[in-house]
Amino acid sequence: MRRGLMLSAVLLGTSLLMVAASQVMADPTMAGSEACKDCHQKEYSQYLTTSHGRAQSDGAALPEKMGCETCHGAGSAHVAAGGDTKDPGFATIQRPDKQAAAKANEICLGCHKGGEQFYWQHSAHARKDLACVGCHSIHNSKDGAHAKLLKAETTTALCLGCHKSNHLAMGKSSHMPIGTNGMGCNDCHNPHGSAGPKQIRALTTNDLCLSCHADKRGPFLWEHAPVRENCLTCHEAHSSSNDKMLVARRPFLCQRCHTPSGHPGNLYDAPRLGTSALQVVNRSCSNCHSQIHGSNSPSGKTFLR
Amino acid sequence: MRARIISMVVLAASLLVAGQVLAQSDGAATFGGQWWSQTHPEAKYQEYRDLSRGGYLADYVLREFDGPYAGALWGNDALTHNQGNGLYLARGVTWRLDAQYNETPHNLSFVTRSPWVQTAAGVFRLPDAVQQVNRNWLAPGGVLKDSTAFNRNMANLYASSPVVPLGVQTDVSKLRLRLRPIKDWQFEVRGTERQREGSAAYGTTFSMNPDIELPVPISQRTVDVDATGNYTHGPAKVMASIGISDFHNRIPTLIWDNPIVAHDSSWASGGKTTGATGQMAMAPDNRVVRGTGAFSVQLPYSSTFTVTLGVSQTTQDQAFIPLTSNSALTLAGGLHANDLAALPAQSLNGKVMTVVQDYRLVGRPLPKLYGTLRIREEKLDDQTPSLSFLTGYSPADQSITLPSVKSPAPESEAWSRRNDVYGLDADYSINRYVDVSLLVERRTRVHPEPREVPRDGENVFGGGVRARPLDNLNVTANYKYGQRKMDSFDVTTYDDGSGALAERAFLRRFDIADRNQSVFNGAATWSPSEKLDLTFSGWWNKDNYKNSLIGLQSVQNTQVFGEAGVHPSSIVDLSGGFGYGQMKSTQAGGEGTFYTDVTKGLPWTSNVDDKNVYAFAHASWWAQPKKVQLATQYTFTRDLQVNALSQPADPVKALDLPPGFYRTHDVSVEAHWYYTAGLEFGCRYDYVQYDVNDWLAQSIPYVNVNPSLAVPTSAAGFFLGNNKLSYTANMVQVFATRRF
Repeated sequence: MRRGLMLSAVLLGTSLLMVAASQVMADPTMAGSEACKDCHQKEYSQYLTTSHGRAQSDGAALPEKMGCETCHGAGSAHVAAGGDTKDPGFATIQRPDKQAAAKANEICLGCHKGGEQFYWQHSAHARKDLACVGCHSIHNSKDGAHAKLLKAETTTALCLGCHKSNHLAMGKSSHMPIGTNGMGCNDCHNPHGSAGPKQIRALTTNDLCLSCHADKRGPFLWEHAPVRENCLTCHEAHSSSNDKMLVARRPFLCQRCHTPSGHPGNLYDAPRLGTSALQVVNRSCSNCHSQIHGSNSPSGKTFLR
Repeated sequence: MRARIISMVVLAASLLVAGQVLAQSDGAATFGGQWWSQTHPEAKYQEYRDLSRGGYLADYVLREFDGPYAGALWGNDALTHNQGNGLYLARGVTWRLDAQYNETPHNLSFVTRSPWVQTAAGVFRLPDAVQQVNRNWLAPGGVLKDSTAFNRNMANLYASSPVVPLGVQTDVSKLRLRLRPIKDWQFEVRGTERQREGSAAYGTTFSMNPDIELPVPISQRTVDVDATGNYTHGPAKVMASIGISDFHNRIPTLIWDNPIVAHDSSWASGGKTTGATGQMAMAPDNRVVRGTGAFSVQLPYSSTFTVTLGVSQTTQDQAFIPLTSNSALTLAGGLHANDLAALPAQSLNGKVMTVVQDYRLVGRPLPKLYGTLRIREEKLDDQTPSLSFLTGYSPADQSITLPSVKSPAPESEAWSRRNDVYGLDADYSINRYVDVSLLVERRTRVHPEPREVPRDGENVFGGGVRARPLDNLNVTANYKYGQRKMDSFDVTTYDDGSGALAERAFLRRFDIADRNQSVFNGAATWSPSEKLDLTFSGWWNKDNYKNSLIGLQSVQNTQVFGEAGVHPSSIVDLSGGFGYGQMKSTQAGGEGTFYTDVTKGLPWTSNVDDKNVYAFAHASWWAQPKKVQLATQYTFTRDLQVNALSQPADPVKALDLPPGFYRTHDVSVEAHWYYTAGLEFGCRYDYVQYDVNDWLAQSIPYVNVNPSLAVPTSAAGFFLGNNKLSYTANMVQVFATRRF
């Protein structure tokens, strides 16, 4: 009997404490960004210089008013804790960098729904549970002008942080000018997803290549079928050990598809190199068939013209 | 040089003053001086950069912000030909204007020469005297009377010709305006102008009598303008965009002198070297008009359905050039071959429509299951009219090939295709440590005509595992297998029009051949402590064209890469990495005329083995914490190619081509002195050693003559001498960074 009363008292006491605690914890309310800066002056000042800070004073087009609590959640309990980390209210503030990626991304996607992020849900990065804050830093970005709030100085450096084997690709003798001022990974790929293959910034591979190499766009009077099929039939996308980022050396590349009698079918070996055969020295097949991407010359059927 | 230095000093000073004057601003600039030397003028050292000597402005950034307003100006390598500059102005989220200007050189060679002089855009002339002298050495029938003297004459001409560097400069200007005028709406307008100027090596030929490589001018402009609108409402969003891309080539035609012939002629039989000039059409102007629409909606079970429809139309209607520039050639019916009236049309009126439909459903039907269903159709419809050249044509400005039973009139063909993909991806989380994935895909391709495989299909199956056995250890492994099979093979497409085969019956072109493909990739990252990070990734794939008796038979690609980072203390960082790649391919060909029997004639195989290595080591040390930092890095790259050839019927002849390699050692050391929070001084030394040994890119003569031929010009080449050179280079930089 006594044991029963004691147990009941303990249960009752525990319940009352839980109710009391829940009332304390219940529904923190918005405290306003001004409340944050007393303790987080550095972060707040830095935040004001970013696009998120600007949105605080001109964000009428956003779903809700922008402020610290847009990302960190209602902060009244955290503020009330007054810096006491043992206070249960202290931990009610949200830290997107400590949250599960999907939950943290929901905060970002609340505003960043269209444009670059239109296909985010279908991206390889979303599928692999990557968090927006894995690449972007709201308070400590390293790209010089903070235009993209990146965690690295350039997009290329950021991408190579995970896609490390591309260092190997960039070390090949023939490669894209990636990493120069003129080109970065994100010029061809949209890390937030796209409707094209490999998250490219075009609907098809050829559309992407031809956006810069518009001289190969044609349509030509005399077309070369594999060019229309896919640029990657003959070229690597990032780099190769062969001239012009070809997947194989000429004449052997050409001979993968052209083998009739005469010079297209001949074996170009060391003796033929010794006799300076035009099909093997210098530009090989392209010494003559230079219009290999297609010809608009009326006599250019064999791409000599 | 003086102007450059003055400009940089003024720009740097402006930035510094601006930083002091503007109350709400910050920024930085790094400037200094650099000096470098190179033992041989190999363009690789400056392949994608413009290295100056003397003062330089490495980078700068200036940001200003005031409430909702902000602006920034930044850039790198100012006032050089590889500069990049950016600017943005913004007001809150209402609008933002971005502008960018980037210059990128692609230096190809600094040692090439050519005696052909460009007298007008795309017109390359030799002095008439040269042609006259060479002409005097021609005997009737086109045979040289004194080939040795001719070759000597051309060699002397090259020796006295100026160096004509090869390279293309690409300058890109971009402007983008983003607007969010009201809730739920976003608009964006983008414009890009791309200018390409320079010269590149281009092969021209008088049907090998002779071949002439020219430094062809590149002068092109592409302008793109696109406008996009986004509307978001609740769980749904819509995106629509329209755009246009306009390409203009300022060098539409290339014309060049024949070094042997001064006046056009036409020899009735065995006519060779008859055209005084050659002529070809360069890349034609074209225009793309495109539009994309997409709709996406969030559905129950954390799912999202998105449909995208993209349509584009590419048109090209550049005026044709005549069949030949040779005024002495006539066609059937007595028409002059250089008369535009001899053409079946005056321009192509080319039109290609591309339509892409993409449907994707991604979601989480069960808490532990994440899946994607996707359907994609990509259709390229070439609506360009076909033209028949019934009057004949002139493949190399030497003679006219008249239509005959053996050589029917050439007829241009449109190449259309359609690619469909149906795919399912699924990820299932077994527990908090292990996820598994599944891939099932069906791909089909249709080539209406005239490709030899009207339709093929590929089934792809794959699976993978992602494991986190420890908090700091992630491991992934994926494998997929695809089997592509053609529905049928139409050997009649190899018919040259006369009933004879123009290709070997057993040739299967690898882009449409039967193929079994295996792909494996894996990766691991492990951070056993805060002082050590380890990463590893590997890739292996093999494409097996098992039914291709002639053509490409297999390609095997292997890549491994590992990296380690060690942080023994707060003042020392060490890292290093090693990568190895290998691509092996085997292909089969055959010499002789045995088109329908692979065992006859002289079958041959070529085994190519490409190996490349990348390694680096990096160390940094705070000699004086937060004050002085020293760093050094070593990078090594090497491409090695071995080409093994075999021809069982003639093993003596099938001697392997010499192996070749490209190798780079790059060592740098640098020191940084952080004098104050806003001022830093530094210096850097860089040493590069580049070694090359490649039969395809070295020993390229200006005058290429087959020494075994009695009549050299029957297979002679006049090249630019575009040779790769081994070199060493040293560079010293001193610089200061000012932050404000």
